[in-house]
Amino acid sequence: MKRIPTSLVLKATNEPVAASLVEGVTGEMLEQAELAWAALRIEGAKRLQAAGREAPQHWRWDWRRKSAKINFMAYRCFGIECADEMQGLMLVNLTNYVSRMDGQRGKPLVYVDYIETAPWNVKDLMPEPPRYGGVGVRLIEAAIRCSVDEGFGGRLGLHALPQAESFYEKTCEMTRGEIDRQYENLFWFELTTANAKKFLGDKP
Amino acid sequence: MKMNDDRNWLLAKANEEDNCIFSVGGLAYRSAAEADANQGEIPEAARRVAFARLVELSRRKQRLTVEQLAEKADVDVSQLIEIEEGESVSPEPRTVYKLAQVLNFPQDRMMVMSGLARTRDRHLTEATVRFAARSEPVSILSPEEEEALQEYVKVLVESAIGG
Repeated sequence: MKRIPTSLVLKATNEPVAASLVEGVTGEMLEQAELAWAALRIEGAKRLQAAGREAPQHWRWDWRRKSAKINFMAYRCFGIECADEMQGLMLVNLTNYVSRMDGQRGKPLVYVDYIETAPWNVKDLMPEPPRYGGVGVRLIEAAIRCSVDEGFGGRLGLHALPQAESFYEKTCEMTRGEIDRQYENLFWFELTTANAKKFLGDKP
Repeated sequence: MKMNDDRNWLLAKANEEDNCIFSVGGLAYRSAAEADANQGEIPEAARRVAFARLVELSRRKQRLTVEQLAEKADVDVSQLIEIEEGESVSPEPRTVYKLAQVLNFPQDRMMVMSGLARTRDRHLTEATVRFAARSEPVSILSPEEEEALQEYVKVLVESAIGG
């Protein structure tokens, strides 16, 4: 397990605050995050339901599956910690997926299998305003840098849930592929090497 | 791996991310069928923590030590320690049955809490998750706990010095 210095945005001030990217999240850390988030998800879902609104689609995830996967070599689990709490989690697969896009078809990529932010960072879920911003951006940045480190040129692939499509299309500038019948008719999204470089915004 | 430390880059990207849901579906949908089948069940982590705290707090409420409870319930003391530590993945049914008797809990509920039986009772599931989430020990130690801790630390230190 390794902690890499980074930052998130404290929403109360709209200023960056120190955070840590955790590479190699342990089963115990995953369990602690699940315990901290589970009760708030239930409360949040009830609140949204009472307001006649839809709960985020990712809540049907079975955390035990995540927990089992972190023990496989093919997977790497990342987290973002800030103020001694886990603010977001991501699981990526490094071996089982290749590009489906013309121009880079068949080339290896990092597949984003799971991403979630802490319930207190989701707008309207808690009675209080969200605490931290940029959790998704930082996790996707980590996935791209992981892809670069693995020699995959920053290429990413994922199946976005319908509620998340605009984030991957607009913020991450991923290319929308075809509907994947193997994945409950979710759209395949892919990040090219050129757009990965653009996203990272590294200065020469 | 070195992350981008440009303040303006982060603020601009975070601003774009604002109000977006960014969930992805690989894991979600492969496990959807299983999740449906398990809907209403108690999450494993919460169940284990809740069961451990339930036994520990109930024992303390009856002012029993672990040894005394083990003796009263006629169960193995090491198994009771494993249960209270949340390390017992599947305690023996007899142990759970006997603990339920001594601690005055309905046996079928204790079987669910111990992981030996399943439930789809949403009320119980939600209560278990809430109990587990509140079970992290944050309260100040009682004088007895403080004394026990000091005694144990003393033995640890002495045994380390003694080699």
